[in-house]
Amino acid sequence: MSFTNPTALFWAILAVPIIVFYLQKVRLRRVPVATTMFWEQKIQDKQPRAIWRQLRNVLSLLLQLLFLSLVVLAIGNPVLTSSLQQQRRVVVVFDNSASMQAIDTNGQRRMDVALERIRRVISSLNDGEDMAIVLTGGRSSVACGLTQHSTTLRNTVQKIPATDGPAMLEDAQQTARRLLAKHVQGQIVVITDAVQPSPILDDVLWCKVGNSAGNLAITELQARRSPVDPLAYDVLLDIANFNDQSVFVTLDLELNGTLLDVMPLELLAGETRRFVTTKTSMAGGVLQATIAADDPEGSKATASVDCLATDNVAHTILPAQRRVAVTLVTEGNWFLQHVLQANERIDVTLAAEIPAARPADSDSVLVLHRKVPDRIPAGRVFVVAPETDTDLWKIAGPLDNPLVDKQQHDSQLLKFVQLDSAVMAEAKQLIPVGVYETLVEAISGSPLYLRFPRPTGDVLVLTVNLDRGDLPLRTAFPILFSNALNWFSGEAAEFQPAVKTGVATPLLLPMQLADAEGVTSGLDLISPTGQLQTLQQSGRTVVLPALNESGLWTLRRSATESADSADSTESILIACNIASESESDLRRSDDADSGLVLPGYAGQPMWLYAVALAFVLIVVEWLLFQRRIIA
Amino acid sequence: MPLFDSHFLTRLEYLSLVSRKVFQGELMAQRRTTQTGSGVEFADHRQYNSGDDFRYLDWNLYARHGEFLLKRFQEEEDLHVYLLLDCSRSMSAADSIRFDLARQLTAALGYVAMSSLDRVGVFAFADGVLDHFPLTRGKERILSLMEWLENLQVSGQATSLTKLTREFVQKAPRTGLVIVVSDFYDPAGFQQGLDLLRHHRYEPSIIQLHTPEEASPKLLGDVELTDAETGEITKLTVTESSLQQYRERFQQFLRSLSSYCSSYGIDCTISDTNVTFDELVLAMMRTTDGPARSS
Repeated sequence: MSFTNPTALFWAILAVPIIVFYLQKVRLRRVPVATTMFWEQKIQDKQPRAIWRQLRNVLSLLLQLLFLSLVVLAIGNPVLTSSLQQQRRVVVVFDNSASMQAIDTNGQRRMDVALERIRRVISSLNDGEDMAIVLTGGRSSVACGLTQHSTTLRNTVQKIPATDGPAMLEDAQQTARRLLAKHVQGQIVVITDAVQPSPILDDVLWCKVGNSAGNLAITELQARRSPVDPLAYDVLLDIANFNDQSVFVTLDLELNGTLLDVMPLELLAGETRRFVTTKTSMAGGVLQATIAADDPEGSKATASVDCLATDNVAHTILPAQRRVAVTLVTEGNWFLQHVLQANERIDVTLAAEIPAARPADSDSVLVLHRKVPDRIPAGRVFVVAPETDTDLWKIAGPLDNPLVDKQQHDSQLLKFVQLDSAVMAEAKQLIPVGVYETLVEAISGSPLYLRFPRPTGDVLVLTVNLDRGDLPLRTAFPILFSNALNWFSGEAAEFQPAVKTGVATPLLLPMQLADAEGVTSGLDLISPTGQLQTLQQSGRTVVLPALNESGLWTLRRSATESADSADSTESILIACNIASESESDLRRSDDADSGLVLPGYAGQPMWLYAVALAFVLIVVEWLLFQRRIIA
Repeated sequence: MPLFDSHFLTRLEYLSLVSRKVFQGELMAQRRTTQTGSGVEFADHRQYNSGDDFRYLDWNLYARHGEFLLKRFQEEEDLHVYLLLDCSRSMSAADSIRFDLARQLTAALGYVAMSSLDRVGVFAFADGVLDHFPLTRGKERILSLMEWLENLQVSGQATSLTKLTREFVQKAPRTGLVIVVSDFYDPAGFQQGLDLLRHHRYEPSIIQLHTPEEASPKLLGDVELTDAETGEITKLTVTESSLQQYRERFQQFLRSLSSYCSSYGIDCTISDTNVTFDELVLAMMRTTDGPARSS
């Protein structure tokens, strides 16, 4: 046995005053009395107990010394050597994902049940045993490292937040195993509402909370520009019924708080209904979809079919549509002229010569057909079928085999565009000079569609002869131009798709969040509840961390940087939705609440036993000795 | 502080006057003896014997009946008052308050008796007669009595009323009123001693003195009791329940003392030491020819 606080043993010196007081007590107080004749009867009555009376003082002393010994022992905090060898290292994987906010049919929130379970685990730890807490709501994180300090653990438990993120139990278990570091007595305790996957691992103790329950959820809400109408959006909406019965649901669509549509639906058991709606506005805004179970029997019946409320609301952001001024310099091309004029967002100006001065509108785009100057002017320029050399490229004659071989499918410039195996007739072989990005490549390796990034504005070059090939006849042609104009106007970055909770998402920053060089160094990310975190990124692409709260997030330039010009336009909204079937589907094949079975965790620290025994001893001493005086 | 100061004497004189006024005609010195003698009050007749004084022959009866009958008269004599003062060590066990009160009481009773022209004798006793103040009369002798009392010290062994009574009846010249001032803590019991006094035709009267601490001790825990008379040491653990039993036993003792006195018409005064001697004298006088009482 060893002591964690051996200096406390010096308190044993208190035995000296106890013995001194005992000796003083044994030396009885002498009282002269006139006669003892009235006491004598009493003495005779107690004569058989005389031996006990003599031993009583000694016993009292022994009990008091034993009491002191136990108290000193308790302060010294003894630990058995065998106990030290068998001490466990427990890592609790705590599921604080979205589904843990579900309220079961018994009225208990799963999160509350889970918190009570983890407190029981803390209480059941033996003295000297380590415990850590790993959270798995969204990205797994270590909430509390390995510690023996139960107060720290309890404080950590008290601060565990409820998140809207998905449960990433596998990642969390891997984190837990790294914490255990192959400890012999290592134990992982998973407290979750998920069903334990097979095969069952020996080092994992699965503690399941909650029962099987029904739910209604919006599992997807996304918006995109309509490929056929440049001024419209297509809104995709998935509503799922995770019940074993059909449910009547009311869907509300609101744009900036204005009700757009109300749809009563009947969802069959297990059905996921998908909608695509175009009922939006050119002005854009926040589109909110809300579902509610419509049950004439009342809210109690409604609660039984929809146990999780947080997935009943979803958002997406629709940026406002802006008009773009385009100057088309051409000697005449019917396809090019009409593809631009067909786009209602574009104000087309035809010119035979390259204008000497660009419009003041920085969003304006210059489209050059065939005729190009020696030096491409600053700004956003789209060049189609260039015939002469410029500062950015050289023309090496016609391309022998202008068959499309590759295209960058992940580029915003080729979004919804499919050019594989297309023949670009009479395309020119173009040799770029300087930095460029090939978007479409011919089978010979020559670029057919490429981008020259410039600080003063990108230049897009399409080497195809529109009068000869079939490209103008393809559906991809107007989309290609639409993408190019969107790219120029920066709306590729402005159109932010709704992100899912718990998933890190790369984000192309809009121009208002970038500086003059298009570089952003500091960003503040503000959660729907006002929590702020700072993102340090370079360039126009930022990776949003896994967001654990559904709703509308705000991304803005850091307060220190934007202090000079507190412009509200220097921020964007980001919609974040749960959009996870695994979190919304509360039906479990294993319906039983497993409770918590922790064999061998019933031990208490030895000091606690010492204190309890000391208390018993002092009570016995009082009963045997002190009580006799006042009884 | 002297036991008998001038203030004591003043209160003593006041007590004497008050007692005469309140108990007029009932004072001790006005008692008649049961002996016939040379008094003036006729008692009865008896047959003449040769040698009798002719002056007491009832000539009228001789003229009427022809018999020589001698007239007898009830003799008037002084009452003998014996004051038995307990001087055992129990009288000053914790302090001397009880012994001082007993001596003041003895002096006061002696003064009242002397004022009534009675003869007063004082016997100091413990396990027997330790000392005695001879019979005397006249209140001018009170100073001698007080001086004698003042010089008394507690001494002797355990109180023995039986042994005291045997010695006392041998030393006392005549019967009379016997006032015993004591705590009566006689391990052998008080009955036998008082029985002896009664059987020898004394008129006993008792005054029992005890301290409030004896009636209700304030002891708790382990104590070592030292008997003031025997010196015996008793170790015991005093608890609330044992204290309650002690109080019951002490009250039982007082009740048995009072009951005994009531049974034999003995004046009994039981008092603690919180009263003054003059209050106690008046209380005792009220018990004369009355039931025993305690103050």
